[in-house]
Amino acid sequence: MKDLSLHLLDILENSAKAGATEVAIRLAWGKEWLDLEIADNGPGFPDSVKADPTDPFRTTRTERKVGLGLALLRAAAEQTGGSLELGTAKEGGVWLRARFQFNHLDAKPLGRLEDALNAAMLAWPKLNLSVRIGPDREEVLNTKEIKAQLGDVEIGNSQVQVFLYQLLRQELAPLYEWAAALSLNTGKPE
Amino acid sequence: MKSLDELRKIRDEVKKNLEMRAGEHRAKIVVGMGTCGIAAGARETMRAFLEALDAAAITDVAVTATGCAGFCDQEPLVDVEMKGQPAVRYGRVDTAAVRKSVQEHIVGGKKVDALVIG
Repeated sequence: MKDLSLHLLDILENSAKAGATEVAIRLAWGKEWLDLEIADNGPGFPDSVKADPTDPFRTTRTERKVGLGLALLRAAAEQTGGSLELGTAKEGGVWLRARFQFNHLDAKPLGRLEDALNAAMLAWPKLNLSVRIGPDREEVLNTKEIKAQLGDVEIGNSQVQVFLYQLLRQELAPLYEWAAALSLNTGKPE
Repeated sequence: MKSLDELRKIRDEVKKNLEMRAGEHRAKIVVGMGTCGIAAGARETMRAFLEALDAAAITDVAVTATGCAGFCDQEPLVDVEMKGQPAVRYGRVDTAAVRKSVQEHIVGGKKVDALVIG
């Protein structure tokens, strides 16, 4: 996966497919570390997978015997000198924290994180997202709250989506600035 | 969450506009967002739709996403369903095609034959 936003979308798809209705996404960074923490209220890892969820041959997929998402996420983190920790969320489902050392030559770019969140909101409307960004982990987006405020108006309404997209870009700006300053890769964002 | 006030303002604006159209969305757009779609640029396509609709001040269109439809080589796929009409499926929808479909189909009411697949 070219950038971290694709990993984010992939992990959120895991939560959606597992039937979770709430997922908390936390992005925190400092010095050269970036933490991506995701916790959902799904059923958690089944016994068949629990022993090593990052093993590509242990998967809950039914159409084939290989699931690469967590394996690739672990590789992405470890190739920067970081790590992937997995466990049980306090909400009951899967908890994971991927830590990346961002000033590493093999650190993937962030990509457009707001696109991943936007796509998740629209592709999996039953999965509510709670997004916290920054060292204080302030909650900047909560789709449950948004839907409550919107009432009859659909979250997929184009005007609402443009607003949320701009809101996310604003909240992500400090992260993007930090990443641009630290990154050793001068590849242009796509 | 900050900006809930702004969100409420948007909600009220959208509601007002919807009321003018008897509470109906003028159209529904479904963007293929399976792995094949994403690889082909569906996220950019979706963003382009949202921006084009916003630029044209259209507020009564709903945008959703779906998974892989099996026409992977035609991704990004976009289904445009105008109210009261059958859905039209567009293939290989890049940002230029997005602009065309918004102008000609959603605003103008006429589907873009060059983009239609199956």
